[in-house]
Amino acid sequence: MRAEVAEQLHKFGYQNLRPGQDEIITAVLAGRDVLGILPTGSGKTLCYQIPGMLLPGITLVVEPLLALMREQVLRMQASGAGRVVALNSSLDKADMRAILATLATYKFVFISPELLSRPDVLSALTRSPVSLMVVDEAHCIYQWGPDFRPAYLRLGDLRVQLGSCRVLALTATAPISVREVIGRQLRMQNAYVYAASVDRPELFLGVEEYPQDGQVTDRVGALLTQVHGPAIIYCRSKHQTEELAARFAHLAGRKCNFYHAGVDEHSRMLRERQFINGGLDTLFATSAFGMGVDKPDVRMVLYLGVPATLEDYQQAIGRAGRDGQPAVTALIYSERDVSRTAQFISALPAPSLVNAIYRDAAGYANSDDAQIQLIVAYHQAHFTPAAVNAALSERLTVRSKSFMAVLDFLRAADCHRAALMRHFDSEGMAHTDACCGHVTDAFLATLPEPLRRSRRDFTGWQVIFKQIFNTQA
Amino acid sequence: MISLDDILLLLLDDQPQRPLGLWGVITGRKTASIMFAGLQHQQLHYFGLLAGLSKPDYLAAVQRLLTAKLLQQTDEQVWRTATGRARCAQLHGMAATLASYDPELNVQQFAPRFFLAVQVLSEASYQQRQYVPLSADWQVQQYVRRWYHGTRAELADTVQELTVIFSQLHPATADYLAMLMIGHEYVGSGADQDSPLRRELALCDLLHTIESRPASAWQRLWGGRISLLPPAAAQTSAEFLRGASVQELVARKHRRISTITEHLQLAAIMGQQLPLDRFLSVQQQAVLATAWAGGQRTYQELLAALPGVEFLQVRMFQIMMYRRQNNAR
Repeated sequence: MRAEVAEQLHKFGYQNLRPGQDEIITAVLAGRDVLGILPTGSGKTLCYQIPGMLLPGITLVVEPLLALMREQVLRMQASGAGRVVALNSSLDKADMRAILATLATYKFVFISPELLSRPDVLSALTRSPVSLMVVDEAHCIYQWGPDFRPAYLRLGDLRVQLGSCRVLALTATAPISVREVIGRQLRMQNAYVYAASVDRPELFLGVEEYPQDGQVTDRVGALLTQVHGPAIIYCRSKHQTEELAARFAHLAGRKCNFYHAGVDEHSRMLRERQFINGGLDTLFATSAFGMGVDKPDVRMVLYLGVPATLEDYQQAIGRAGRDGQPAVTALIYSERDVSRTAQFISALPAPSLVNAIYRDAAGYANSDDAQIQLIVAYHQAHFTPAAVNAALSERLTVRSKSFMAVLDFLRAADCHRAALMRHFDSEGMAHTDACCGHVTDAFLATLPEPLRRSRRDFTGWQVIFKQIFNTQA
Repeated sequence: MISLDDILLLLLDDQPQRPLGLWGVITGRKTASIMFAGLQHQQLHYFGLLAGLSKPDYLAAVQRLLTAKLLQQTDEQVWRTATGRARCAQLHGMAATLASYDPELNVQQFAPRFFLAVQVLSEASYQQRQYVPLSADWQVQQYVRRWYHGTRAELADTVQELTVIFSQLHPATADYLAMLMIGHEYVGSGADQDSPLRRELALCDLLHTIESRPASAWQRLWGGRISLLPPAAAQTSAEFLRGASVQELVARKHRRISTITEHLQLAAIMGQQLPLDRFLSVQQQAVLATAWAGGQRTYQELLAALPGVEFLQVRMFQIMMYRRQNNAR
């Protein structure tokens, strides 16, 4: 490891780099285009944070989701990464103008792909030296992938307009065919490709089917009792998160709450921090939870229902066991869940919804609904409503194919992990009793016990003030 | 636990009104027709109280009140029944809590600034420069950063001011607000008792106390009361008061006449003293006053008393009368 890389690493509070980080950072600093495929939780952020601190000028980071952007800004501000800003639709005109006027003073600029196409933004960026363009979640560029965003198709052209700076594309999910598309679309030259296995050997991949919905709930309760340590339970719906949080509110040894996009921002923030801090140890959540949450000791992640894509599933379970210790994950579903998801993926948004969004795209810009987000993205990429309806019809094929991959995974006769790795064109560990299938008591017995932290009880505002304002004396 | 159904029952009127009129007021929709309905039914005090309340959730609550016979309806209007009024009498505690709300306090803007400011002061108290800020909003961060630069030399004094302010709050309110804070090695507590409305009302109590301390750093953080009148409407009103006619304003501002009349109505509803003589002659005012004294309130009834006048003229008369009536109560 180069001395200056080590120095930055220590400044960010780390002692060592994880597998893949050194190779990627070295290649970026050598001026190469790089495609990095790293599993969730393996430290993709440092792959651009360290080069960004060492290179002159701006590091531009393209992110597909507002929530992800916000989390990255907060983390980077916390780690002292220099001036960081997120350019997105939540900024009003005056704030946007103020930021663009001083863009060159920022070290890291996070931006959505749609905003990057705006003339005023592009103009400000071309006037500022951009040394590195990072395309996070680069698999969004793949038109036949489940997370496709039309604006990602323009990134290659935009890169040229920015002076053809080096590009670092990062993703956790990229089969070989997708890697080729990423390289081509981003106009990568002689790219260095680091493709780690996306396998997480420390995670048990539980897959359990039950005839009735009620049995799924019972199984959740049983696992919450047997497993000690923080747990995330991904639910089918906002309603289910609240229902289950109420159902298990008095489970001995557990402090539960729910989290979804319908909870107001301050409450969501409190619950997230309390989960990270240990004040809560059980969260019933929708996919709105977890972006940027880097809690190392999550011992269990349950996914209730059948996911529409293996990418969604992989991202959810990836939040378990980031400390490298054994952790249990389980996809628990009922027979009805298969048909629920099948119906969901075959539903097309009505043309009236497309028209409503086109009439007031700004009003839908911050929706957390994936279908609405995609239509907004098409609008920002200047598709006509008719073209959007046609594109959405075409995507039915994509969604069906993704769902078939999920069913293949669920019904794998030999090894679920092997089926998952085949989907991502990745190597995985050989099948053992600690690999996958029905969650066994034997595996649960191998889980480490959580560290017992002494928790202070804060009763009354005066006691809280003494703590937070350091007036104990 | 603050129940939506109880809140709506308290806010709705004993006089018939379109239910979506109240929804528009409490979710902060600033159109002349919504604000007029709010004025008519004395609901403007609760403007923006439940900004995030969806229409389906609101209508579901209204339906529950109808089913429980606490409301009655005819055509498209609802109002309280005798049972509903009796239930309201039992809710006097909640009514007192709601009374602390004041839309001019601008609590929705103050809240993220306040909690971030507390976090900043907390971490500074431990000389901690690296922490995850609780708000990623650029505007909030910039605002608090500027405030902190003007405050950090008096960190201890600023903390002491907040302590004094909290000591003046009801203890339950102070405890509750403290449980929502984020600070050094503290991430709040009791989140299961939190609700956006409860938080909003507690912050209103805090702001009433901050308002009584104009020299404090916390007053500077807050920034003071705001006018609910949109800037464009305020400008139209100011030019009207300087003598411009409606037609002159339309030409000068390149706006539609409906926009200018909307501005004037909003200004009048929100308390600007637009002389009625600019809209109606003395004789016309007398005719409408007689009709009003006879119990005629609606636009149609008043127009029937004075045929040939325009909508704006009748509406400005109604606004003046409702404001007088509400001020007298």
